[in-house]
Amino acid sequence: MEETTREHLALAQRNQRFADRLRFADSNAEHSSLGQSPEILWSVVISFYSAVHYINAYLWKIDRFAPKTHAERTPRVSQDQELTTIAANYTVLSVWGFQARYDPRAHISADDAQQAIDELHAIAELVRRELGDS
Amino acid sequence: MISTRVATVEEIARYLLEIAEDKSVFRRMWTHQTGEVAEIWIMTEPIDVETEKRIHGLGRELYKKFPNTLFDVRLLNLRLSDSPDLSFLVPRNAKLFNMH
Repeated sequence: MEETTREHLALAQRNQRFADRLRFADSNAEHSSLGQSPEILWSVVISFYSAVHYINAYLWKIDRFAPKTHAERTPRVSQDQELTTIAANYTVLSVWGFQARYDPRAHISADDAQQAIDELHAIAELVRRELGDS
Repeated sequence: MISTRVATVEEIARYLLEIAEDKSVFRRMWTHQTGEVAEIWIMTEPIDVETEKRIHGLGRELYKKFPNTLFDVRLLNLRLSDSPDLSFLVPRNAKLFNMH
């Protein structure tokens, strides 16, 4: 496997583990004045950025394409014959991550964070299979 | 019929409304153009993840209909917020789309 692809995969996997740890760190979390655990919020955000690197690994391997923005990346996920099967998973992560980052009254539960991790798992599974890394 | 030209964001939004079985959960829609990418923002009622994924899954149908247009459908789910209105998250110069 080429170095750029391998680096994206490594970063994706590192972020995936981090998102998982944060999700379970919530039991000891100090909740904000708004009642939302920052660990839960950031677990969702990091799940999305893990997905970004899985997608980047795939696009580099298949097409030598390195998207610089979400606007360049997201349409490729819906249009690619393989990625389209996980497009809904990716978009859920993208919009949940957006709400977690920008809505000061975001209310994302531990179950939602687990759901985000499950969506990420589906993306990781497909990309690793397509890249021969499973 | 497949559109081979670049579609307007309003055409995409209109077609999305035509094919969305879950459109009853759409509270408000906006259209916005960022460079080449047509953005459709939708604030929904509080909806579960399966409904959300069904709506996102329509992207595949939209790309079949408009293969030469880059677009992004952004849902704002009220279930994930204590705010009663998420329109402040929509880009400032987005246009409110008439859903009727």
